[in-house]
Amino acid sequence: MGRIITFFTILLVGSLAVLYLVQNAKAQSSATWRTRVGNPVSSASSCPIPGGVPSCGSRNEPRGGCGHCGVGYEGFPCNYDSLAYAMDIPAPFGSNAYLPTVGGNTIKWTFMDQYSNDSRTAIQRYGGTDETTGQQYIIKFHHSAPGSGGGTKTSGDIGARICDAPCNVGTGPHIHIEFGRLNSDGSVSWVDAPLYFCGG
Amino acid sequence: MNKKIIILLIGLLLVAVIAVIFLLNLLAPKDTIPDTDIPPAVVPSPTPRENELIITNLLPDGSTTRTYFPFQKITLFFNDNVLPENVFIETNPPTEIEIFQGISPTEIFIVPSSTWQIGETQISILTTTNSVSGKRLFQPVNYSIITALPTLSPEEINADHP
Repeated sequence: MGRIITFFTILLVGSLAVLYLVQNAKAQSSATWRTRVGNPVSSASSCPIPGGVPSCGSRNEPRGGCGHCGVGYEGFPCNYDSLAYAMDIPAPFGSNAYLPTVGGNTIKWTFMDQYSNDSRTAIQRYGGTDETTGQQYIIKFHHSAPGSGGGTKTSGDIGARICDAPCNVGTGPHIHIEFGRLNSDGSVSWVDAPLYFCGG
Repeated sequence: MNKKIIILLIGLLLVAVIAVIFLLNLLAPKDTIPDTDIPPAVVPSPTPRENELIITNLLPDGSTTRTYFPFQKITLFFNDNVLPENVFIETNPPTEIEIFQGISPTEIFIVPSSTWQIGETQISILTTTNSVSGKRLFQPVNYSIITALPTLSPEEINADHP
């Protein structure tokens, strides 16, 4: 009889201990993540086209005698906000355009969407986060091949490909970049791309 | 005294102690995933006390009248220094997130590992969150963010720039 009582006592103690542990484990949901992110810093100002030289800069930072919506851009419409901040980098049809670093920092870039048009080109949009500073960015690759963007990537990965001929890229094959800062309140401040990339 | 009776008494004592701990644990308040009828806005903490951790501000401000990019960072401002590994968060729908130190020791950034889902995501900062000095978040803070992809204009999509 005594042995039976002892056995059941131990069983009860064990069961309660297990219940207690389970209850505590529930306090941390599986939907909880905690990560401390430390990131390496990569090399300085990068260019989506390796070794690329801008053929046209922004209105305030012209390059090669050209600035979107400014000098050398007469005769072309300037009909949306971010255009005046853009830059063009020539490269052959089908060339890869790489997601850049910003200010020497590696950026985590997340593909958002693409818009295609009738000229066999598309706009690839990415959102970026600098996990060193918390600063966030938006980058758009115009004149890219439809379907050439996608995924969550980091600086140095392929973000798009210049469209394949025949496609309408005006004066010649190039990638057109628009770049902005995403503010904490959700607004976007477009910035002069030539100041950030390709020797800017 | 009989040896078996002593063992039995010790066993019963252990049962009693564990039962008390278990009951206390059951009665303690638990953090829960926010119900869907919780208003999608910041629930302010009560008047701060010296030994309590509170969130003094959140950015963006949880407005339900506007939408944000699906990768929008959320910034938490605390009244004490906080380490990312001591910030506990639940999301609904479940979203993998990354938490890292903000510009100051009292600031924490939260970003989705990929994106917030398009639409509403509810975020609950749990009371298990604690500061470097050991202050514990006084009450869960519920917050929601509504995301959408802003459309480009036809002028931009069909832009005829050289």
